[in-house]
Amino acid sequence: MNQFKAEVFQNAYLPVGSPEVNAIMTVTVESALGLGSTGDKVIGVIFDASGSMEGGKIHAAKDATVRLIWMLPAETTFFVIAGGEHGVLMAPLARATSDNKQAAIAAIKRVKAIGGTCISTWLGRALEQFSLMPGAIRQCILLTDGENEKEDEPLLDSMLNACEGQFQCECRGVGADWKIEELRKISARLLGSTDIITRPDLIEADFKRILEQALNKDVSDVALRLWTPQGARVKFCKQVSPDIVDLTGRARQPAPQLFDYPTGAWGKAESRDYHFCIEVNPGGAGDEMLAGRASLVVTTSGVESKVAEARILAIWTDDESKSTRLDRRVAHYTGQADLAQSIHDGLDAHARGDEETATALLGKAVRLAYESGNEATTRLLRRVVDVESEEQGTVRLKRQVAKEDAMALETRSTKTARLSRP
Amino acid sequence: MTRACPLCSVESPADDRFCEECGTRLESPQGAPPDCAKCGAGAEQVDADGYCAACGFRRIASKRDHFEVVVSPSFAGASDRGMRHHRNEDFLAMDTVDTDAHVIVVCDGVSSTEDADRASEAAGEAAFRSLVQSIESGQETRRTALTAALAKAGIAVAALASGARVPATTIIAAVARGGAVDIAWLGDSRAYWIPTEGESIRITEDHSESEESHAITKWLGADAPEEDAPSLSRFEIPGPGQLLLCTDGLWNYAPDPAELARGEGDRIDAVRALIAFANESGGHDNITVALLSLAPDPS
Repeated sequence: MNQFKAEVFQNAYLPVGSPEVNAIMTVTVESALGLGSTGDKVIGVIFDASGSMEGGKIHAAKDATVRLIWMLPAETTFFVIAGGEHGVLMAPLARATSDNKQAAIAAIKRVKAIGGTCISTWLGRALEQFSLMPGAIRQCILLTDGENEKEDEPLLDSMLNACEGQFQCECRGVGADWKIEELRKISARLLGSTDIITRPDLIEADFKRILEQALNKDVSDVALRLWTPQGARVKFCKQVSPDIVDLTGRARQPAPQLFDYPTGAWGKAESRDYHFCIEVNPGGAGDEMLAGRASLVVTTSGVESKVAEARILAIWTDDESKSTRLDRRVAHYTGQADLAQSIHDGLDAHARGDEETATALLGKAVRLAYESGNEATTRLLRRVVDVESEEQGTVRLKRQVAKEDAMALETRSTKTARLSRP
Repeated sequence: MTRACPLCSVESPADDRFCEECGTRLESPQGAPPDCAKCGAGAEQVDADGYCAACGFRRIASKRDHFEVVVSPSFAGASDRGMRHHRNEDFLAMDTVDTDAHVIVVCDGVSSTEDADRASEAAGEAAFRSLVQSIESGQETRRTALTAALAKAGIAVAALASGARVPATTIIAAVARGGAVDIAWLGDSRAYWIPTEGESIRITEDHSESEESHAITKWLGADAPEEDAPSLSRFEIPGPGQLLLCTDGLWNYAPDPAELARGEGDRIDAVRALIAFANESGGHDNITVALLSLAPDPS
């Protein structure tokens, strides 16, 4: 039943006295049928039906939802919520039979764009529906075009606490009037991603992609368990591929020395990379330490099973030729994190009007993207800056940058490239 | 303020990190004898590959746990981890140079400091290299060569210090040639003369507060008092017999030097017998012994 594979890449050799251990772990699922879920899949769609959506956007959102419903295989379960000042359940949880689909579509057609945006109420409604099928793969899609009401912010925070671990949520912002940080807060807690849909007519293709990914999942609620020695500190634990997700503050502690990081559901042939940075009590020359043991834990009806395990080691040495070598994967993902940070800070500086800092940081990003072969990010950067030399990272800010382009760069900057084979 | 070692009950100064007697980490929880050498966790905590489930450190069998040097049938030595310490912090280097100059260096890393094993190795190697060079160049008196060797050893150990980690070691170095032995030392590693006939005698005087205390007053290390010059001694060989150099891991169990005599035959056999004797007596410390058969200069 062990179809998960975990492999650690690191240079275990450290200079004497050095406490920091870095390792990349690649987790691959070869085939995982029947583990950790009842086989049921619940797809929940929440689309923004507030006043700001009026016109082309609400039409596109409704159309995309209708198309998505038609695509649902008969064995899946679904529900639809229209979001405004309250979350209104347009189609309650039901099997995706032809009759149920038609009833849902008829209800969706009656939705009118009206009122404010209180996302906490939308998520609350979704939570009610998902909790009816706790053993299933539970995937939500949230589509909005605007900012959440200020008064809803504290409510949203406590609602996220309630929803964490109960379902996963992909967040999509249509147009350029929504706040990246706001949706990121939701998607990070609910183990999804945030992306921009620049034009309403692109909603459908995006929904289709999310659905395909969700249908591919067949193991839910997988935790990444990290054991560390006494006195150690986890400096960070990040998913670094396919995109960067900082899990450091997300751990539960089932026992002293154990940290469980949520990783959500996994699909067939899925592969992700994680970067661990652990600070340990350093040893003397020749000392060897188990600095971490990382495993994947699947919980099926309350019973935990460990499906893969890998060791992170530390060996202290006086031999500099051993300790100064950087593992190429650790170096690569450290660079990818630096790339994402440079883009974030560069766009921030740009928004503040600090062109000098923005030029320097986005130039650095162009160079890092070039060096690591991250072509997708390079393409997004080229919409914001004119590139003189990719190699040197010399750029000029474009005179006119479309807000959508800056937002696309920001939301997708966390997508990392994988290291090509040497 | 002192605290008792959970393993051997010997009291150590409260700020010592390891028990001077047996090397156990003193922060370890009281109770069953520890099995993890680093943190004192019990045997059940150590996995099949030797990793400790508490502190993560691995117990690795090191080449240094037991090593032997056989220069000739009449000149041999060995160093052994003993029964209680988790690693061997003693060091031994010996050889015959320039056909008839016999060089021996023995060091005992001070267990209450971190990196004591590195300290003894660095000091031993530096002193040994320096002595070999001096003898081969033939330009110095043996006393000058010994003083220079210990000074170089001191520099090598001091270089290991970083922040609060100040490794330290004892040292004893001997050069035997032409009917006499010149010896220099700091600390409580000793030299004995064991005549073929007659009573064995100790040649060196320990640098320690008292015979029993083990609290040494001179050592090599960045925190060694600067004015502390090594003791130097010349011993004229009175008749056929053996020179024995050892650390306290051996002499602790032989209050009477007569107990150190081990008969004729290959010296490595006698060395092994002495190490077995110390281990059978408890093996509380690392054990290092060097034996050299000598006769008076016929000229």
